[in-house]
Parts: sequence; structure tokens; C-alpha cells
Amino acid sequence: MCRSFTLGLLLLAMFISVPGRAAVTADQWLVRFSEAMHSYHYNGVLVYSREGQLDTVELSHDVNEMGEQSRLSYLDGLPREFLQHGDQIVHKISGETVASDRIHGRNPVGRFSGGLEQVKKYYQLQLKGQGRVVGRPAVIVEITPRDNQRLGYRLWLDKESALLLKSVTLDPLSRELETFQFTSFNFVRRDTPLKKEHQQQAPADGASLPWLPEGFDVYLVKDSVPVSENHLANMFGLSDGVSTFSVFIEPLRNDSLKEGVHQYGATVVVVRMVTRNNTARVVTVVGEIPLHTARKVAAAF
Amino acid sequence: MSDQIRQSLSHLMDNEADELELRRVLKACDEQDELADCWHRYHLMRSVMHKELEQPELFDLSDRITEAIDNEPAPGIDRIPDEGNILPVSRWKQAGSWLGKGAIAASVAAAVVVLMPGNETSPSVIAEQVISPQVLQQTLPVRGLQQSPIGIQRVSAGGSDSNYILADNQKLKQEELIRGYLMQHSEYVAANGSHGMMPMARVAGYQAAGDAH
Repeated sequence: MCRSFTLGLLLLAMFISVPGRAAVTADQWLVRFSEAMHSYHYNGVLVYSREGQLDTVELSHDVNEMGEQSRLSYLDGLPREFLQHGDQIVHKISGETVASDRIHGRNPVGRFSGGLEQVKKYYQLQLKGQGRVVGRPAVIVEITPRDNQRLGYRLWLDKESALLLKSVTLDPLSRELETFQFTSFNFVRRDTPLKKEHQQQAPADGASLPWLPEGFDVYLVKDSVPVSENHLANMFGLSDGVSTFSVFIEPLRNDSLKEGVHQYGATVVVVRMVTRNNTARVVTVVGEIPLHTARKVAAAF
Repeated sequence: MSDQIRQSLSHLMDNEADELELRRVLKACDEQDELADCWHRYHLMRSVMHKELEQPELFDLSDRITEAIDNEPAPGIDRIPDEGNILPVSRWKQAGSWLGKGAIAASVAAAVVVLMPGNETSPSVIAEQVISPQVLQQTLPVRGLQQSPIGIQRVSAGGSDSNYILADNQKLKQEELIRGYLMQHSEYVAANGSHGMMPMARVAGYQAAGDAH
């Protein structure tokens, strides 16, 4: 009895002695996680699996005065690379740049920071014990949707740095749809952590879709987005703070996507043709949301 | 397999079976593999009629059935000694004996010929394949419906390649188009989602799926 009391005191003392780093609740862990993304260089080999398919990428990430610097290169198949410099994203195949794009609608809410209250309105946050990933002790945080209009996530956060080591996407029935997991991982703490971008981007003004699941707002409106060599579509980006999906709208053409439904791991694609006032348009809903939700978004047009 | 049970099976396929017939068929299926096979083949035929030919299962199935037939004991009647001397008429006559019992088998072969749009192979070539001496040697023992899969296999292996390529091309084109949307969406998620650049790994999956074709 006395011993366990001393132990308890000792633990308490430890928590008090490292105030900034102690996190005891799921909320605190998520806050730490979103801060960690701005406080660490990290790199490693990431494995992505869905439906028996396995892909390996090498990922490195850094934040400096120029903004975020990321590099993601595919270790399987064609040597492809994605480079992110600040708000510029570049796609390279075999070393040659094939696409370069400016990222719009940066949405810090989507990174939990500052938007935790919003997140908690639609998700339940829970600590689910401890685990071990890439040889490192981790805490498991589960983000469970409160309704069936969004997917859930189980996150393994590194105990020391709070960086994300593993993530499993779950459908409303808690079935695993896809897994991201580091199989090698290194990180270095930045000496002077960059200030968090505190300005929160408000939902885009005036933009609205016929129907949206509760909690989702339009954060991005972009005209004439190239979706193929000769297809342009208007794009809407939506987020509830955790889950994201996109809606593309374009005029119907001979070689447009056919109506239908596709699913790749957690990502669903719903294509629908809408005819109004003698003009036919194609609505494509793409994102990590339940299929019935994506269908409903498309059907409302 | 009795005619009665065959009749019941036929009713079942046409959605006309009563409760009793359903039970009878299910019970008989348990006891006789032959009946279960037959039921399976009826479904296959229906798929052919309904133009569901593009399902890869058909190939798998035909391969398995071919294998099964190869493993069958030698035909009970005399082999045709010299194929060259057999007149087409006599082939038809012999073929008729199994066509008579297995009229459905023939109709499947016919359906395949008829339903194969844009088929490069002319029906006469296919018909010849169906009654070619080699096939006859294997099928003459006359087990009625059992022969039908050969007809299907012959025809589909002989003339449908162009259709498959066409269907594949369309599928490929669709998937390539979809990838464009997935890519744009993933970039948005990478910039705005909770997982940093991680979601871009999904794109690797989409592309691997594309490369595999």
C-alpha cells in the first residue's frame, strides 16, 4: 500500500516535472500530435495497405521558415515522387516533373489544432491503451464518429514525440478499411519550434452544395482543376475537421466518367450524371467517407 | 438424375417452383453431385443468355470442367479410327444423339454464338469447332448436359478475345480517369487533412492498380 502510494507520487512528480510533454487525455494527445508536426523533422518508410494490396513509400517531413517541406517517394513500381515546398506541390515521375500545383485552402482545422471543440462535436476521442509500433512505445487514440456519416480512425502516437506512427481507418462498423504504418522511423526535434499558424481559415463564403452531412463545410472552391489531360472540373473541398472529401462538377462529355460507384480502401468514388435545363453535368464525389454518405451528396444535385 | 428432379430444377430456375420442389431439389443436391453441377450449369447458361459473359469466372469454370472431363474414364463407345474419313453428316448424326438429350447444351452454344457481338469468328467456324472430331471423341459417351461446358469453352476461347480487349480498354480508361480525381483529392487531403502527407501514399495504391493492367 505504502509502496504503491510512493510510486504514485513518483509518477505524479514525473508528470509535473515535464509539464509541456505530459498528456493524459485523448484530447491532450491530439493537441500534442498537431504541435509535433511543427516541431520535428521526421522521415521513415511508410507502408500503406488496403484490401490485400501493399505499397511502400519513403516519407520525409520538415517544417522551416519557408513552410512545410515534405518528400514522398514510391519505392514500388515507377519511381514517382511528390514534393511539397510550402504551398507548392510537385509530382515527379522518374525525376521529371509532370505536374506542379499550388495548394489552396490550407485548413489548419483539419489538423485538429484549435478545432478540437468542432472535432469533438462529431467524434468521440478515447485513449485505447498502449502499443508498440516500429519498436517504439505508442499510445492508441481512437477517433470514433458520433453518427454514421463519417469514418473513424485509430492512431498510434509515438509516446516520446507524439508523432503519428500508425493509422487505421475504420468504417462506421469499426471494420478496418486501410492502414498506414511506418516500418522505419527517425525524428529530430527542432531547436526552435516554429510558431503554429494560428489563423484559422473560415469556411469558404457563399459556396454551398445541395446537401452536406452535418459538420462538413466547404473549405476549398477551385475552378478548372485538371482531372485528366483534357478534362477540367470545378472542385469543392470539404472537411469536418478530421474527414475530408471532394466534389467535382463538370459538363458531360463523350469521354466523361460513367455513372457508378468505386471503392479503394477507405476512398469511395461516386459518379452521377445530372441533367437540368437541358444541360448535363457530371458530379463526382471522392473521399474518405461512408459510401451511403457520398451517394447522398451526389444524389442531392 | 430423374426427369422429375430435372423438371423441378427447371421450375426453380424459372421461379416457378413450389416449396416442395425447392426442398426436393435442395435435398437431391446434397445427395447427388451431378444435380448440383447441373444447377450450376443452368446458372452459367443464364449468365450467357444475359450477356454476363465478361465475368472471368467463366474461364476459371471452363478450365476446371475441361480438367474434369480430361480425367474422366475413356469413352464407352468405339473411338473413331480415322477422323478424316468421317463425313460431316455422320458427325452431326452422332452429335445429334447428345444434342437430343442435351438440347440445352446446344442452346447454350447457340446462345454464345448469337450473343457474341462483333465476333470476328464466323458461326460456321464455331459450329465446326463444336462438332470437331476431337470434341466428339470426348463427348460421345453421351452424358447429356455434361457436354455443354465444352461447347462454351470452345466458343469463348475461340472468338471472344477482341471483346475482352474492348472491355478491358474501357475499364482501363475509366480507371485512368478516376485516378485524376483521386490525385486531386489526395493533394487536398495531404494539405488539409489530419494525417500530413500520409494520404499521398494512397495514390501509390491507385497507380499500382493502374500499372498492374
